Amino acid sequence: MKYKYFGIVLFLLLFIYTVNGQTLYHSPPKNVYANSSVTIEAVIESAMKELNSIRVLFREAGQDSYIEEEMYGENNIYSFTIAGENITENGIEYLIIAEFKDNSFVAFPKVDPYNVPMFLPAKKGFSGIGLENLNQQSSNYGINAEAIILSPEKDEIVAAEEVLIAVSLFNTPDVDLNSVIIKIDGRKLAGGIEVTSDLITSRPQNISSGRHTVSVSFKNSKGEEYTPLIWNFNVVRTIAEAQSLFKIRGNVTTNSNSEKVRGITRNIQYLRANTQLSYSWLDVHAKAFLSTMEDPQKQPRNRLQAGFSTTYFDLNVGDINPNFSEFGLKGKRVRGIEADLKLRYFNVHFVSGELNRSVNGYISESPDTLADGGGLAYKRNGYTYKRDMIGIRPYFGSGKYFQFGLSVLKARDDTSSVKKELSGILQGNDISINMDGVKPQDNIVIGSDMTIALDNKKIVWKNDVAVSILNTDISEGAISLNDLDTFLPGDTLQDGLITFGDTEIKINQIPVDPSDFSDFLIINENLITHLPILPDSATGKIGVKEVLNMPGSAFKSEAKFNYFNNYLTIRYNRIGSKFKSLGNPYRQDDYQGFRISDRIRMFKNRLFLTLNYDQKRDNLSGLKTTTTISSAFNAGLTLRPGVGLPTISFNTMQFSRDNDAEDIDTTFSVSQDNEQVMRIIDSRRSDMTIRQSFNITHRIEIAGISNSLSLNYSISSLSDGIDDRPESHSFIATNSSMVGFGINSNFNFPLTTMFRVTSNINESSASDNPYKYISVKFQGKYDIIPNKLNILGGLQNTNASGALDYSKNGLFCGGYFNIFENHQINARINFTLINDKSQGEKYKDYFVNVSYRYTF
Amino acid sequence: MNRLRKIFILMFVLIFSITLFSKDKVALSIKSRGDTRVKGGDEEKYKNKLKVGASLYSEDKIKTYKDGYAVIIFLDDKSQLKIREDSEMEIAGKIKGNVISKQITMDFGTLKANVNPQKKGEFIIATPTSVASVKGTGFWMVVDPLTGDSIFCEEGEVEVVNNESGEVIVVSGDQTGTSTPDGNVGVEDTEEGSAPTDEEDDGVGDGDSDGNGEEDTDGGTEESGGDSEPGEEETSTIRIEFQNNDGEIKTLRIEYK
Repeated sequence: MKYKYFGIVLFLLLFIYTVNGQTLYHSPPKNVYANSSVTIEAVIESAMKELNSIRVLFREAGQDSYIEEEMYGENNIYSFTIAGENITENGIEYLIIAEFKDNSFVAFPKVDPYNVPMFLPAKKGFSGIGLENLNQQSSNYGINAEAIILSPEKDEIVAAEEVLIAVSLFNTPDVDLNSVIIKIDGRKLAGGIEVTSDLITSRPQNISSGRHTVSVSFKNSKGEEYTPLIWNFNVVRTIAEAQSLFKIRGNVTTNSNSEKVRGITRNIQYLRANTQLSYSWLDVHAKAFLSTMEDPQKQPRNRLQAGFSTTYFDLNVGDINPNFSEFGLKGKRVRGIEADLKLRYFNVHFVSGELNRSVNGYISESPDTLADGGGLAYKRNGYTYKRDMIGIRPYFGSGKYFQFGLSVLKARDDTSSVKKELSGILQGNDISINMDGVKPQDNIVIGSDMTIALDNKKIVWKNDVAVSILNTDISEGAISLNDLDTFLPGDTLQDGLITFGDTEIKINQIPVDPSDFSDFLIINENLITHLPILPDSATGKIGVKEVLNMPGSAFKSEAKFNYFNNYLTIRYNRIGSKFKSLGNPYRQDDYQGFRISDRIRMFKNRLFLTLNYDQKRDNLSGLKTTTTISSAFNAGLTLRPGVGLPTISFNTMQFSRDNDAEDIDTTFSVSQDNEQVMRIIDSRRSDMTIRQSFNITHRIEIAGISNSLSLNYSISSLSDGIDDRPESHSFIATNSSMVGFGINSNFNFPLTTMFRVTSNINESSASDNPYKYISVKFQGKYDIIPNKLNILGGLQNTNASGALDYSKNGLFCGGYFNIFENHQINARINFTLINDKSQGEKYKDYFVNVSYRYTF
Repeated sequence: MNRLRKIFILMFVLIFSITLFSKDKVALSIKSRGDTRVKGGDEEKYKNKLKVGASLYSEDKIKTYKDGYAVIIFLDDKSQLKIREDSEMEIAGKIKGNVISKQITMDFGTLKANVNPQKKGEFIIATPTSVASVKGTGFWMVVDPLTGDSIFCEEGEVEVVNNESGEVIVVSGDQTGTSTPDGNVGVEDTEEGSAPTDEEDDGVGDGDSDGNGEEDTDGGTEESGGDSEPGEEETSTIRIEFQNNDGEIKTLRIEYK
């Protein structure tokens, strides 16, 4: 109940998507900062269907491939935290896909989520440490100096003849130049030290090979001692020796979360490690992510990867996200191996591994009793078959001017990976077990791609085409030649003949046995091929158009032109109704459409105008009762007049969906109580969503305090264009508006503050009482010791009224502490009091996070 | 009166000289290999070899010959330039408070920049073809006045404006930007092996470091001498710094043979 309430809140906040009784609630997070993690949350409500999995796919904005992660949660609330290392100032794009046991799914964004994912802009990190680790003090006494170690770097390997000790005093003006002392391995340098007002340098002679410790100490003009700079470096005999050594870098992070949300507590720990080694032409890398959320009854949460790259050959093993082919495999996680041979003119990309691991699921506790003494029947659900895949793509050309590739991708579920018998319940004469969940599948995707780039890539033309073959149920294996004898309807006689109508074919005259191909493809009655190819109705011929129109085919063509300050893109997509790649399962199918976009730069790049138009039509094979056309128009204007003047942007978006249903259907049926039931079904669709936003940001300096002011205003509405709906038809029209103001301030001393106030009004035709809320947040951060010790704290208050009536008061604090330069401890505590006046309940929520990071 | 006039003229010349040479110290040479030379902004020829540990002043020019290599580092934020062979550039910087606004004017050659986030100043690399503005990133830049510029960005972003057309490109991590003299610009994914490699990593270079360790240690005076241009007499330079009560520093440079 609590979560239902939570779901309603999210719905009213922004977004709600419902498909056939399944609802995905999601409110995109606000205030995303580069290099800071962000949590994506979603609420799934499904009265009818059982959820199979819910995943988030994310990528750095502008990149091609997604990283796919499973969201975890309880009581229909799911979340995943995207690590800060994945969030850059380019922003992040993501989509959420919830897949149900019957293979249906609901996604956010609902429309073409793969190609038009949700975009979150990322702000520059609030805690942004501008000059990381510049101060490498390791002593605890003295005044903290702003001196910078210039040479050698900490732990640098340097040839004896190139040793230069250099410290910049550029930001430390009050240094007594006569007080400077340099010690190497504890021994004071007697001479050879050059000191100026902004620089300390020394070139020690005859320094031996091995590890050395250098300390540089100095005082200010009052005789007060600064904290000495102490660091290590390594000396080898020659430059060549220094160059031939391995270089290694990496980090290890451990993180522990404990939280209580509306009475539910949850504890999560994880460890993340990355390392890179380089030696001349070779780069070796390894990553690991180990979480307490790993559960053998779900898809892997842990991630392990290792590999190397050279100029001509790359190899990765473990959890990889290959960008293999547009339609076959793009961004989905594979646990296996990826190799790329790059000989420029001839290249080969190879991927093999596991798309899903097997999950046993569960068996019904109480069996059904079958009629006519059929015994007891148990149901198996919640299982997932192990899904293996292999793909190879030979491609020609580097892509600089031309590239042509051919790809084959095969994915198949391992039917032996999930056992029918579970929890001690065995199949027998009186007991049967039915696999009621997702059926094992077999899939082949064959594709081709070509890229042509002209005029220094000012013109780029890319084409991708693929056909798929899918077997929707391979649990019974391939059909054999003998099975064909009684395969066709009505042919029940085992007589060595295939009979259909008056035609008879002798089994022994068929030259091939379908089961002989089972290693390549399992052929049985559940096979969906791309056939038939429908000949042109006028000429009766089969041409390129007819091939491309096959239900099992997919085609994409995109051209880009970069001329006259315009960046014009034209794209055409067509995905057949029967096209399916198990390596790219969430791609929207059964539609064709085009997109035209242009980004125009004007007034020496002071003014940017963006225009996009996108149209899609579904029901390509006419299998659905209605055909829907969706259109989206988006225009944006950004004005950046220059330093000292505000940046202004305006965006408008109009999204409409119309179908060709013209009539209201009326059906009659008889209920179990023998009552006549009349149902009125209005399938007509003509809705429109309009969103507009206006933003202005301006940086001003007041009394030496640098302030960044921002004002945001946005409105959104969803309306129905049909006004003669029957009373029983439910359409929820919505209107919302949001205004926000924020100010970020950087003071002369190491204090930065952030203040933001946001007001939101949401109206819905489902409620007479509009939902309003206002939120105020203040945060301050102070560097006690710059780049070493930092604290932050703040307050947040939210008051809501209308359909929901509650108040929320939050207090948070935290900080980080850098120890010995390589070690950092972060801590964060949030405490929130919620007074839910609607429900008459109060909650005390908390969130505690502690992390430790070691960098090498 | 004549004596007073002479004193006045002498003072004027001295002040003028100090003003003329009032270049800010902005960077330090931390590596110098092979034939790598430096000259002041007002000098005509590259007479002095760039030494490890030599201070670099605004408008100093560095030239690397066939086997040359140098690494310089800026004093305010540790931003670093690695200069490969056959390159020439001017290092200019203007001190504003506690930051240095940096402008590298690169005529030709190859450099790698590791630029730390700029607090208030700016970091600009100007070439005959383009102007690159950097906020904090690591990238390679190959400059050829005939064919244009190539920017191989490893991380962060570089904004490049083409001088001819005014077109702007933003080159991000693992992308290569091109800017040509006829005004064209473009961005594409960096091909494996197409970016230059760092001498420190690939073992290129003859390891000829000129570490003689003979710098003066008397604070405020720096001598920079070195190998001469082939066939020319060696030139040495003495820089004398003057600092007033406000902390403002002027430098007088004296060359001698």
